[in-house]
Amino acid sequence: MIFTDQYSASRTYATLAILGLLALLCIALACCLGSVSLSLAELLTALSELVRGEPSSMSATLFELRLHRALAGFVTGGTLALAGVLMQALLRNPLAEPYVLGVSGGAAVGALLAMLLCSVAWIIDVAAFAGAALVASLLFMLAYNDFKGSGSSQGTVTTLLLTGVIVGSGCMAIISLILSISPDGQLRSMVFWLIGDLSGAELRYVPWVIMLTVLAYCMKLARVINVAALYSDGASTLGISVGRLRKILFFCAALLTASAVSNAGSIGFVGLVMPHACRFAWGPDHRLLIPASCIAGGSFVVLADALARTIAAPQQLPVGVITALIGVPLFLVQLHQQRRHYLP
Amino acid sequence: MQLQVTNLSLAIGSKPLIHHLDWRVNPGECWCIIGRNGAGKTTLLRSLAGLNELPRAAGDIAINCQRLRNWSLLELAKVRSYLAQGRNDVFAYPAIETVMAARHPYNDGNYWESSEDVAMAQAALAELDVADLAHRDVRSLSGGERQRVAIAALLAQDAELMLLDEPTNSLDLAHQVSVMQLFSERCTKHKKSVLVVSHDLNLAYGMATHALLMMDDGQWITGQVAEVMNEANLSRCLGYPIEQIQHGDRTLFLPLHSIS
Repeated sequence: MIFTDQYSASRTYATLAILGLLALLCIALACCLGSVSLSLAELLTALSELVRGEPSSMSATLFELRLHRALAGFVTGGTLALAGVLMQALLRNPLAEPYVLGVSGGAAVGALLAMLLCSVAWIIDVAAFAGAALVASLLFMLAYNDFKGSGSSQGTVTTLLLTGVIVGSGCMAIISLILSISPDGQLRSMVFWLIGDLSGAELRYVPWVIMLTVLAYCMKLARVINVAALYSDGASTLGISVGRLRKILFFCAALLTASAVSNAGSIGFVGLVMPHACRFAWGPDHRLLIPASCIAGGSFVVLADALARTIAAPQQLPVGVITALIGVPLFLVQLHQQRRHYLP
Repeated sequence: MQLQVTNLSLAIGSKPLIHHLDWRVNPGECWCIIGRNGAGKTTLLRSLAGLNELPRAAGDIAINCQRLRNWSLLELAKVRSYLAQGRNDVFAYPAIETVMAARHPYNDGNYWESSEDVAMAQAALAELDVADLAHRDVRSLSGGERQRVAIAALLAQDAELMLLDEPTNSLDLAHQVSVMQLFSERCTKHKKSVLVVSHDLNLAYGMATHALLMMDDGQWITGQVAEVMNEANLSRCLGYPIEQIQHGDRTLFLPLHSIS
């Protein structure tokens, strides 16, 4: 198999086209599923009513509600998966995920404080975003050595990783404190927020803008990210400013994590499992990996959320439960497969 | 391509590695750098590669009469290449991807590799006798195979100045000889310059035209291999008595055999 430019490029575009189609199918499926299931015909009529701007029938209303929730799920999953790829490239560690550096911990602290003190929805989201931004800035200041690019010859950005883990643990301690002192009435919503819950999500444009902008930017950088992933610090002898690239990756990953977590809480496993699954299926080339993880992550959360709504009907489970329940065995199977594949 | 070092002083903490080094490397010269463990060979090489930032007072390193710090990273990558002492592979890239990535200084504007790049990468792998490993996961290669893939990547980078930190690590005897011959040819035929850090005195003597000996106290000796590499200098440099033996027209260096 000779990798020529035509092969790599056409393979990438074909794979992305198929993934895009599958994503649309997942969203359609999520709109069909529910306590009142819609058939495909009903779905199409609802869609046409929505497009014409007159959602009158019950199926159209249902469709609209479910579509908003599915889109919110898609953007959250895509954002988390993308953040996962960037985090793994930044830390040069395939076990990294968006929450490892404590940015989501900061968001959780912000969100829970806001829930404790006042319960207005948009204030909670802003507070979550602010908490994430604060932790990210703190990390940037404390680990600035790793952003200079000429650090250890192993290239493992240890200062950043350790600082992030410690700060994350600190945030967990504060979260435990808040949970222990909050009144019972608020406790349930706090816990649901922590596990990850899409039931309160509305159709918002900001998460889409953030995700698509970062996606486009990182796809442009994908080649450089490949070289840096291969050579780490040595990539500077190939003409890449490693320190600058690390800053960009950190900023993008932190922004994405903040966006996803303030939207829907800390939905786990998407950021770890989806990049892995895509890497296992299509290789570590970031030119395909970055967009593929994004689409796959979005589809995964859409499906998981559809399951969360229907599996224990009429009770709604938080989507983070389903992603964990699917993610853990999926990850273990993959890990086992990879070891078998890799050992000669 | 000319490398000019002026008054360079390097230290780790309070330990001096090299004092006021004045050195020039011209095209077609093959230098071997010899010293004990911890003498500062890798630090020197990394500083020459531009990986270590030098404090202003520590001297100057210039390539083609332009200070290292004034070079743009991409332009510098086209002129000098660096082979690190070890490798740390984390992701499952195929070996050929490693080699093609080394073409980055020339491909910065392209998103996808061209078939010429692929052909060049294949040729580089073939030269190092690892062409059949092109699509293997780099992490699954043996030490020697991985080393040869790394050398192939360095060759694909096609730079005028090549800085090699122990290139024959993990290589078997046949490949040690062929790799050294490969670089020696690059110097004589293609007028490239090579700086090699090596612990193998005989291999180094065989391929190099010049030598830099780094003594343990920061002192140094530079010059042509025949003048500089003798018993006295090498024994002082390596901290062990070395014996020089003539075998026909070959010169060999052996540690003095102690009769106990």
